[in-house]
Parts: sequence; structure tokens; C-alpha cells
Amino acid sequence: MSYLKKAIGVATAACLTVGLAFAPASAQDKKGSIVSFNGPAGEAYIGRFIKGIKETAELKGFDIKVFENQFNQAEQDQQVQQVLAAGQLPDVFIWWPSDATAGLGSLRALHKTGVPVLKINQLPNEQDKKYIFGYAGPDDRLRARNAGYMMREAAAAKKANGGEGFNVIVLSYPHSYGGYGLSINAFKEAIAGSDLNIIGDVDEGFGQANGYKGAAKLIASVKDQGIHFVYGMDDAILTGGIKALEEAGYTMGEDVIAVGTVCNGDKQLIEEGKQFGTTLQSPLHEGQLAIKLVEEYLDTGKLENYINFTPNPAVTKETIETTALQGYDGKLYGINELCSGAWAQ
Amino acid sequence: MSMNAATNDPEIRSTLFNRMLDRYSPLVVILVALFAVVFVYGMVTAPNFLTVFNFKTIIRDAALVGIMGIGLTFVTLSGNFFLLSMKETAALSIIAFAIAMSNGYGFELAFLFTMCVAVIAGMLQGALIGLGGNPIVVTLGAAGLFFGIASWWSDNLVVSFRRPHGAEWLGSGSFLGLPNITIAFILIAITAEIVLRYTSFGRQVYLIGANRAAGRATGHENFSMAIKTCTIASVCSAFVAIAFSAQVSSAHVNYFSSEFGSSGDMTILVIATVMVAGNSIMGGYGSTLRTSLGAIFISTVDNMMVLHGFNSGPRVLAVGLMIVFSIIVFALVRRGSRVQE
Amino acid sequence: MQPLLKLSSVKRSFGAIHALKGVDFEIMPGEVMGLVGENGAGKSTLVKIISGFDNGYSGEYRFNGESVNFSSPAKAELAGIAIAQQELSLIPTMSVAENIFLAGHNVPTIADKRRLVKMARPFLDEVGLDTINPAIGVDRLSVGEQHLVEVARLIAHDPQVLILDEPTAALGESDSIRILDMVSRLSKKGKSIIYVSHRLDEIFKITDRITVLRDGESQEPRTADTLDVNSLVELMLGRELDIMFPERRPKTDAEPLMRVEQLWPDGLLEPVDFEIYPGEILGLAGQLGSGSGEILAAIGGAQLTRSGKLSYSGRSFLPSTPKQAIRAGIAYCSEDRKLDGLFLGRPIKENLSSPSLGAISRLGWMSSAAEWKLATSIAEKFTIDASRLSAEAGVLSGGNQQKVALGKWLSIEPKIILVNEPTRGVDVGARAEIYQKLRDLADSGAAIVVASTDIQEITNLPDRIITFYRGLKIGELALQELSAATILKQITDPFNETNL
Repeated sequence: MSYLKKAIGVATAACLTVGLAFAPASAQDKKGSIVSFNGPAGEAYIGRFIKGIKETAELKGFDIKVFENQFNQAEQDQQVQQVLAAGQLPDVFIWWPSDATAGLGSLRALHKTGVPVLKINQLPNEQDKKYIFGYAGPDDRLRARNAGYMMREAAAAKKANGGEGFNVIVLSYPHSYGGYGLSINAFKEAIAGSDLNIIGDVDEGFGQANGYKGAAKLIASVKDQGIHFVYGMDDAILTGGIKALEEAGYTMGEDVIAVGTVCNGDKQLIEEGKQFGTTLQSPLHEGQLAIKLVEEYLDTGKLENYINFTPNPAVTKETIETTALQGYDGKLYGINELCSGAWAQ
Repeated sequence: MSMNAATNDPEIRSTLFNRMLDRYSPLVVILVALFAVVFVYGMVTAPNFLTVFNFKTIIRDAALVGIMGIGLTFVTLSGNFFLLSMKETAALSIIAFAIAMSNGYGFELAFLFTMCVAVIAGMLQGALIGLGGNPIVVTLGAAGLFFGIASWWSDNLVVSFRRPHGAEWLGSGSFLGLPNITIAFILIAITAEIVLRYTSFGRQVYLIGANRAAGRATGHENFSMAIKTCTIASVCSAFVAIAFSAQVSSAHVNYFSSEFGSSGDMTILVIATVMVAGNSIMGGYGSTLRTSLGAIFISTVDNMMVLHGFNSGPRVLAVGLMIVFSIIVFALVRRGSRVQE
Repeated sequence: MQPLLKLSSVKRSFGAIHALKGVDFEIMPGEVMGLVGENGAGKSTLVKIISGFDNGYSGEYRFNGESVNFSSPAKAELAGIAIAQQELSLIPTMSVAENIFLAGHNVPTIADKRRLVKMARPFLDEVGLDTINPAIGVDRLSVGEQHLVEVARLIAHDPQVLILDEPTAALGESDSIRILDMVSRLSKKGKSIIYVSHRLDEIFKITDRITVLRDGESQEPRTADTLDVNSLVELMLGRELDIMFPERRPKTDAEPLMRVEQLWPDGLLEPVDFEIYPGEILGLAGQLGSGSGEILAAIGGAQLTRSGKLSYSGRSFLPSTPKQAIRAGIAYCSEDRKLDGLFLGRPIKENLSSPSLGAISRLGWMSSAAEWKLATSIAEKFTIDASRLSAEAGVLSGGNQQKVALGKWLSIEPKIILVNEPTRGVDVGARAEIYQKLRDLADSGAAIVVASTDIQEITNLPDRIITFYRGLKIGELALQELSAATILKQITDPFNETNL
């Protein structure tokens, strides 16, 4: 058994070596080569990110190779080992660890080769900073804060029509997830001192199904206090929550106002007014930003900014068709390309 | 309610208790009593637990996992273990459905198309298992195949279709105050139980599950049984996929890998549902009614804990403990009731 | 002399069932005590209590003069009471020596194979396995030899009392003899042996005294030489057993019901041909490995064959699955009812209706009334307690299980009934009932084919016999030629001319 495993391991490594050895030959005339370690394309957000780095790299004349892991740090570590063992080093590594703490060893190994490393998506800690030349990714705090401000505005409008003391329910990421603390604190800061008051929080899990399930239970528990606002830590969770609220008899947009973030939910809900708004966090843009930083670093030997956040504009029914970001390829991207959710064309 | 009436009568209560003590080991009685106390305490003290609205929430919460569990129960009862491809079959089905819907084929055609895909997926696995393939190996392989096809087909993207569409009645509609998905769960549960109890097919499921060799000797081959039960499980998966897609007007291959419960994995959750209900893993003993109640039971405990303010970690732990607990109790009960002449 | 082991007024109930209603049992040092009784009389329960598998009893249990209560078989073994059960506990892929030192206080912490072989030797000698090499795998031994290894494993712990629970139930004649030899050898060395068996001839051959259990109550132990088979059976049943074997029928000149042509299943050295006549009981006589069982399995569609055809009811075919055989009215009961004869975890009525679900259902819907009717009628014919039809088949005793395993075939109204070892592990009373039932079926026009390694059964039940020896058909014996001596000669030593 162990012999078999070893044999498969050797065979895989051999194939990879041969593959890598031949790959650069076709890329002689390229500007440089990049190897990116990230999660699976099957995940909607990461899928868009990969699209972003691949398209921009091609446009800018980089040769890029992407290693996907199935949210598994051990698998990612092995991929790093294989790339290093193959000996053909790229000009830049893009590093999106599956688990930032457990993946530190691999990051150090990448750094030791002398090839510069750009960290993606997960904000670097003090240890990481020794091994990377910069960071590109979302700002969980800004995103949540913008959502809080958006809800504050909506509450103010509602107050003007007569009403006060608004109850908010929160559909959270799992409390054990790193982004939870940043998101909830920034959101709380943003609504502090307003008429908004959080009365319940549920952390069923990621995604629409969990959003639905968690919200259904939470509604049952706080229904008699009255629910006026709902904050979803991302739009996928919120989409499920809106379904649960509708099934419980609430009219979305009138009885209850929903605010989400990330823009990975259901565009039609915003168009229909069932979701008040969201704050954009674009994986496509994140991918483009990464390549832009790579180019900047290779050209000038340094980055203008060490930490580079993707922008988080607010998106509401009014702005949904006009919201756009200029990509690093110079093109203007609309909401349909930027978001990672269910965006029926 | 009738239970309450019965236990208020001291005479009946004593005989019931004595009968339990007579039949089961004291350990079983103590365990069950202990659990009942915790359970009832939790229910009574949970804020807003005892409301009609919450009970509807509980059953709706159990519905999707319950329907898949019912399908899988046929496979387990017939002695063909588990299909480890439940969530991948659902992933393939949801992509098939959403692609058909987004191409404007309408609900009926999309439904038929998806079911065809599911039937083929089920029959393929069933035939391989029926020919003597190990169910774990076969369905792990099938899982990879289905997931691969679904990812490739959808290009790993979210496939969505605009409201209004013909599937909304299933995803978000309700009838007499019950969500249609809840009604579907109840109807499927009743149908499955009737099929198992009162048809010769149902009897064959039990016989082959109880003893495959004796089943063969009495003219009931596992080959066709494996095909039939795997197809049922597959079709149930597809139904859940369609219902879920109808609700969220979209589909993605990962919906069933990361979006069901804190543990995230639909297959594991479905297997847990079958197990917690005391169905025999070896087959031949159990029922779909047990699985339906198992799904509602898990959802009740989960619901109770949410109302008590527990977050996801302790809730995953509780579901795990319940499975271990129920396996022990059911094993003890089965052993106790088997008295050799 | 003090008894080595003594149980007084032991009672044990399971729910409403009183398995032991007050049993006294004792054994002297160096004595061989036979323990007999019908299935359900409480033998297994008593044996379980003595060997520590069950301590939920009331009453007194004294061993070596001290009052004891073993909470586990390991504790009983440590005290010096060892049991060899019907189901062997050997590990087939390990060697004989390794199996002997599988567990227990005498297992060396570090042992190389050679040392184990050396250590195993004396224990193998003691059970009469002096000719085998302790280094070979257990799976290369015959079933009888495996039983001897199991006993050797127990003897290695030097027990004072050895319980043998039906050690010969699954064995042919020659292996049985080795077991009996071993018992007398061990008793000469001073071991006390409790010998449980349905084979009454063995009981008389080797036991000093016999304890009879009937309906959960014990009879006063008798010395073996004060009893004969008839009086022992009477003690067991509480009444006289009129006849064991029903009267036989001479061959009629009817046309054959089935012609077996060139049938060649695995286990036979060459294809066989024979005829099966309606209304007869045909016996296939042979020891284990003779191939007679394989022939039945092949006709029943349960085993693949290299060649062969069955000419039967106007067509020529060979069933490749039991399903096809059942459709043709052929019923086949294998020798191992627990393996493929019964659904132990399902109710008795479901067992009885299992081959004929089509007959009790319409358009796939089963009729509960029709099933009850079918099950009750079979239960009546096979004297199965009709009030227990909803109970799991697994709770029945061996005899009743065999009645269910056989009786279920009545539901398809078979023309040909193939039974391998019709009464293995079945007690005397149920045995006579099964023989009578087979005869009734034959009288109603069906053909019965029985394969058996039990020499008493194969000599006295069938109207006609075909003998087999190591995969070869030896001869056919008509009713007037049937005698135990002739049959034994043909199935154990057919090619030695001197005795013919």
C-alpha cells in the first residue's frame, strides 16, 4: 500500500517536472512567469479570481500557472514542494493560503527560493510580512462598515416616515471563521448611536441553504420582538435569509430591509427591491489587482503601497446598472462581471 | 398528546415502565430516560420553541435532508450500504436542471430532463454494485465522475435563471400555510413507507437486506435490487436538487458540498440521518419512517440549541453525539430483544 | 467423591420465556457427562451459564467446592472451564501453532514461529493431531481437524472442565471418529468433559453419565449403560417416540420426473447422469467432499456447472440462478440454513412466504390476508407454532428453524425438492417430524432428493440411494439393497476389493 502511494507520488512528481520543464520553453518571449497557489475554481468566488488573474496575465504578457487545492492546506503544501522540487522557478509567486497559519511553512519555503511572493485575500500578519512583498485583497472591515452605513441611511429614511427603535438580525459567518470578528465589529461601529439595535445572530454556515436554515430558526426565536432589518455577512447567506423571511410572511423592502456585502448573492433581489443593497467585493478585480501589483513590482522593484485593498462601492437598486470599476486592463467592468453570485443575464 | 394522557394514568404508566425494564437492559432505560429529561428540559426552556411557527420551521428544515435520507434508506435497507455519491448526484442534477431552466425549456421539461439524468446515474451505480462492486468504491468513483461532469458542464460558474419561472411554486410556494417543500417531504415519506410495507418490492428490499444469500436462494437477485434502490436514491437526490434550485433560482456544483449544516457536507448529513434513526447498516431492518423522524429529530435538537443561543461548533458536536448515542441505544435494544429459544 | 462442578436449582428467564425452570447439573473429576435434550430444552442456556457467557441466572453454581459467578467467559476460562463452540473461533489465515497461542496467560510475549511450533506440539499430540505440521495454515485442514485444533487451543490453558458443544454436527464419519477418540483420551488424563450432542449413538459410545434436559428442567443423571436409545429418547421427549423413520415405498414403474444428463458441477471428477422419479425419496450418500451436495446445488441453480442438462416437464434446460429453478418448480435447501436458508432477522411469516411473493400479491401490492393464510397453512403442516409467526426466525431453535427453512418451499408447490443435510443440528423430535413431512410430500407426488453425511439417516430415509466417493458416482442401491454396511463401504472405501 505504502509502496503504491510512493509510486504514485513519484509518478506525479515526475510528470510535473517534465511538464514544468517544457512549459517555459514556449514562453521564451513572455514578460515573465507567475505561479499562483489558490483554492478550487469550483468555488464561485475563487473561480472569478482565477479568471481575473489568467486574463490579465495574458493581456500583460505573463505566463501563468495555477495550482488549485480543495480547501486543503496539506494538499497546497505538497503542491509547493512539487513546484520547488521541479527546479524551474517562476518570477513571482502568488500565494493564497488555504489556512494562513498552517501554511506559514510553505510560505517560508517559497520565500527562501528568492522569488518574490505576493499574498492574496487574507490580510498578512506580522510573521507573513517577512516573506512577502505585498498584499492584494478585500478589506473585510471596510466592506462591513459600508454595509452598516447603508443600513443607517435606510433606517434614517424609515424614521422620517415615522418609526423608531429598529431591530436588526444578523446572519453570520461561522463564529470560528476569521472574517467574522472583523465583519461584526466594523458593522457594529458603523451603526453605533443610531436607532438600529441587534437582537439576534445565527451562524449556521456559509451559503444560501445555511442562510435559509439559520434565519428560519432565528425568526422563530425573535419573531415576537419584531424584525425590521437584516444584515447578511455575505449576499449568499442573505439570499437564503430573505427566502426564510418571505416564507415567514414578511414583505421584503417594506416590513424588513435587507443589507448584504460581497455581491455574491442574487442580483434580481436587488432589482426587485427585496434586498436594499450590498457592498461590492469583486474577485475579478482582486485577480486583476494581483497581476497589476506583480507588474509594478517586477518593473520598479517595489510597490507603492504594501497593502492594497480592492474597492468596496455600495450597490443599490438605483446604482446597480451604473456601478462599474475600471479594471487594470483599462476596460470598464459592470456589475455582471464583477460579482460572483447568481447573476442571471 | 395521547402519550401525555397515557402517562398520567399511574396504572398504565407502571406497566409501561415495567414492560420496558422487562424487555430492555437497565442501561438502555437509563440512557433513554436521561436523554428524554435533557430533551424535554431543553424544549420547555427554549424561548419560543413551543410555537406552531417553530414546528413548521423544524419540519421545513428537515425536509431536504429527509427526502435524500428516505432515498438512501432504500439502499441501506437492501443491504447495499450507502451511496457516497449523494451530494454529487445532487450537484449533477442541479446543474442539469438550472441549465435546462436557463435555456427556457420550462419547468416540466427541465424536471423530466433532470430526472432522466438522475435515473441514468442511479442505474449505472446500481448495476456496478449489483455485479458485485463494493458500494464504497463504486460510489466514490461515481461521485468523482458526476462532480467532474457537473463542473465541466457548468464551467464552475453559478448557473442562474430569472424569476418569474415555472419552478417558483415548488421552491417558495406554500399550500394551507405549509411550504410546498414540506408538503413534498411529507408525501414522499408516506409513499416510501407504504411502498416498503405493502408492496412485494418493499418486501424484497427487506429480504435481500436481511440475508442476500437467502434472498438469492429464494429467487430475489440483488442485481436488479441494487439497480432499483440506487435509482430511487438518485431520483430523491435529484428532487432535492430541483427543489433547492427552484428556491434560489440558481445552481452551482458546490451547493451541496458546503451549504448544508455547519458540517457542510450533504452526503455525511444524509448518512447521519439514516443512522440516527436506528436503521441497520447491514440492511434488513429499519424503515423510511425512521429516517424521516431521524431528520426531524436532528433538526429539532439543532433548532433547540439555536434558540438557546449555541453557535455552530457545539451544534455540530451535539449532532455527532446524538448519532453515537442512538447507535449504542439501538444496538442494545436490538440485542436485548433477541431472545434465543 | 465431591463433584468438581455443581449447579443447583438454576433458573433463567428471558422476558416471558422461562428457559431454565430449575436445573441441577454436576460433573465429577475425569468424567464424561453427556448433555442431551431437544432444541429449546435449555441446553444452550445451561452451557452459556457454565461457561460464563450468561450470569443473569438465579440458583447456586459451585466449582471446586466454592460458590462462583463468572461475569465473562474469560473469567470462567481462567478458573479452568473452557468451551469449544459449534462456530469455530480460529483465524483461518494463521498457522495452527499461532492459533493455539492466540490469547491467554500462556502466550509468550515474544515468540518466533519455530518456538511456537515446538510449544504447540504436545497439545496437538494430546488431541490426536500428531501427524500434522503445526506450521501450516489452519485453512488447509479439514473441518474435523480444525475442531481438534480448537480443542488443542483450549487444552493449552490446562482447563479442568472442557465443554464440547456439538463438536461433530458438521463433520463426516471419519472426522467424527477422531473427535470421539480425543474425548476418551482426554478423560483418561483426568479432564472432566461435558459433551453436548444430538447424535445419540455417540453419546452412548463415550459418556459415563447422561443428564437429560426437558422443557428447562433437568432429569436425574443416569449412567450410560443403564439406558438405550429408546429409553433415552423417551426421557428427552417425555413420551415414547413411535417411529423415527416413516415407512418406505418400493420403486414404481412411473416415468422419471427428471433426467439429469451429464451434469458436471465443480467438486465432481466427472459428469453424472441419473433419474429422479415422482413420489420417491432419493438419497445421495457420501462423505464431506464427495460431491453429492454440489449436485443438488447445481440442479437448484445455486452453483455454476461445466456442463449438463435437466430433461424435465418436456423441456431440456439448466437453471443458472435459483430464480429460474424456482420458476420450474424446483426447490433447493442448502446444508447451511443460517447462510442461505433463512432470513433470521425477519418474521417467520415473511420467511415462509419469501419464495412466492408473486402468489400473495397483485400488481405488486401484497395482500396481508393472503400471506397470513399461506403462512398459517405451512405452519400447520410443519407443526410450527402459529402464534409465533410474527416473531423473528432467529429466536427459533435449530429444529424449528429447519422446519421454516424447508417449509417455506411449500409456498411454491414444488415438484422437486432438493435437500442437503435435512436434519443437521436438529433434535430427535423435530427430526422425526421432518422425515415424516418429507415422506408426506413424496406421497403427494413430489420427488425428494436428499443428500446427507449422516449414515443413520441416509440408510433409513430414502427409497433409493446413489453413492458418491470423492467426486465420483459409485453406484445405485435399490430399496432391497440398502444396508448401512453396504453404503458405508461404498462411500468410504469403494475400491478395496477384499471386502466385497
